[in-house]
Amino acid sequence: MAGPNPVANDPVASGGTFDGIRKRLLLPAWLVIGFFLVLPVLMMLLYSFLTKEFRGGVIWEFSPAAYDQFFFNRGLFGDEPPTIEWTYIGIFWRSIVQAFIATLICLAIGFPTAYYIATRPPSTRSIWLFLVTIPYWVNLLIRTVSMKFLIRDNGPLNEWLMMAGIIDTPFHIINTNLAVQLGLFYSYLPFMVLPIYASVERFNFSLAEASADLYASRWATLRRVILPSVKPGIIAGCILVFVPSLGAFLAPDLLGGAKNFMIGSLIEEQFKGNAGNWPFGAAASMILLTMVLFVLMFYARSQARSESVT
Amino acid sequence: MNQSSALIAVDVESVSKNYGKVAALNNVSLSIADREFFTLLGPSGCGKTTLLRIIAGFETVTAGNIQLYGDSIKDLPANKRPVNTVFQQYSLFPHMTVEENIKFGMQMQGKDSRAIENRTRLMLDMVQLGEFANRKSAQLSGGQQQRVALARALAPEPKVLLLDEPLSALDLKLRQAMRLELKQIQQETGITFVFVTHDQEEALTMSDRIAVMSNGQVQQVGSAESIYRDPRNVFVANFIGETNMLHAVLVDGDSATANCRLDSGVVVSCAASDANAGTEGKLCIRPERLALTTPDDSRADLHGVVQRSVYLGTDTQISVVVDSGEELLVRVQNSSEKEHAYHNGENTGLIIDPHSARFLSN
Repeated sequence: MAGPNPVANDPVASGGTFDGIRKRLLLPAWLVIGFFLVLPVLMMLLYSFLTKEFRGGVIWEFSPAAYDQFFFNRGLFGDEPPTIEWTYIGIFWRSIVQAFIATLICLAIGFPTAYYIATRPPSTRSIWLFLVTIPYWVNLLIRTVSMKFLIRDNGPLNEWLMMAGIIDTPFHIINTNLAVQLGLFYSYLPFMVLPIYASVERFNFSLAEASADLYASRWATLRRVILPSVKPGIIAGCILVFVPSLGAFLAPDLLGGAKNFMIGSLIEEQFKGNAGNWPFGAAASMILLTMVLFVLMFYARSQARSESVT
Repeated sequence: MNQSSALIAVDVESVSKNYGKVAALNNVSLSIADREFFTLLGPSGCGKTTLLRIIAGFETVTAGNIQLYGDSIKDLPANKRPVNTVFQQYSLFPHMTVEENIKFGMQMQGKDSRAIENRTRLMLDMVQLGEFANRKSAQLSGGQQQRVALARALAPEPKVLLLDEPLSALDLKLRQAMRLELKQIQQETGITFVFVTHDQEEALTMSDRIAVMSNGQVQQVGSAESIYRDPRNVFVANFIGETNMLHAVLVDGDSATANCRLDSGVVVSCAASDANAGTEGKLCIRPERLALTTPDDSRADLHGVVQRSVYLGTDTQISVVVDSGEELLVRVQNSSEKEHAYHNGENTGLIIDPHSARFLSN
């Protein structure tokens, strides 16, 4: 056994050192994820269990008060027997409903759009995709403010509608749920279009031909053959729209007004300026995060189950 | 049997199909009889698949008409036509099981669930896949997927079954076995089959009649035997089987035989031709219709030199260069009595069987 073993000395060929190289190459990614994802979430978790400082910030003392405030009402002075506090749960519930409706609208408009683009000749597809993504070259805040300008009572939309004689009095959209929906839809539509486009583009259209050959109408072909095949794209699109819609604060703030408060605005308010309540904002964030994780876990579970059946 | 009174399943009437300026089909007319195993045979790009897709309803015609048992189906969408297709790549629905794939067509037809259940069992038994009913198509081998595709297309009891090169993705052994199975299923079900292939062996072994196509046109329609023995033009003669082509000029002829002059000056007789005397063309002789003899044999029509001989088991293929410089292939059956080895460079005489040599104008 004299002499060096060439394989053992080759860092790529020998298993152990190769692992070492792999770890070193992955290090930047781990650092980024650790620094910008894991650490902030842990900080949020920590802050949500601290005591609030009245001028913003925290006092380093453990306290479950933020969660208590979220779920229970103990009266003005905190000495009454606790009853369920509906204010924040209500805001959450309204946010979920809003995000759900926004997702449905994005799906209803996004699926035909994606389908149309994916069935164009390959040379023109990129033009359509470019058109879909063009608004994203402008900052979301500016787009949302522009939307506010467009739909106000004496804005261009109402002026045109009145000039065309379609309506007599301004159509009141601003500060309604409809305005929030418009804003969310406009903000997140491409997140629905792009993943669905990707899966429709991969769809083997000879299956649609086979379906028509077997007496299926266009509608039956869509429902029985195309939709099951592009389901992963639809689910991905729905998650990509639902999750940011749930935490959105620009559209509800600027277009919805005070009545249409959503989770995002509630959390934003806790950290803005000096009047905020950092532990409460952190606690609300953690509750939101938990909810989103449950949705994703449920999705992963159902995916794994449908995979194991095949 | 009276051909003219036979029921016509598919009647293709002067169909043309253009893609932009490119003509895929040029004035094609065909009549496919009821219960017939009919094959569209031709090289890729000849228009055979386009014609099949037009019958199925996936393509529209630029001109002409298509009738199915007497009714024009030209303007019917694919899902309203009582024909089903077995696709080249099978196109099974990947998210459905074997059973669900087979049931799909019948469900879309709105048959009652009891009838669907029974028919599905029958189809699964027919293609011997009963035990795979609950598998997904990705878990099946190529041959099994092929059979599911066949069962799925036959389940709704189509009036005509269209098959688009269904065997081309299978390996040779399986392909040969499936040929027999397909033919048997066709005879048992009594359904008209329209089969598209570029494989002449496939066409010859299964078909009642074959339409040889090239360049968007039908070159010849007939039984396997008539197309092989009596090709109407040079393309058909070349495409079906091996053939020898000698440049020739038609000299004269009557209703029984014709004479033509080869480049070497020799005049040989061949089967009757309706071309005029003086027409240039090819004398077409199958390799097995040539016989070798000694150079000094008075019956010899041609003389040449053996180039090489290849032993092929049942027969030997010998290549001979004749006086005109043209090369001919000869197939000689191997038998224990006639053990004659042909050596390269050996002079030889060739006898042409006048009944099976054919003059084809260019």
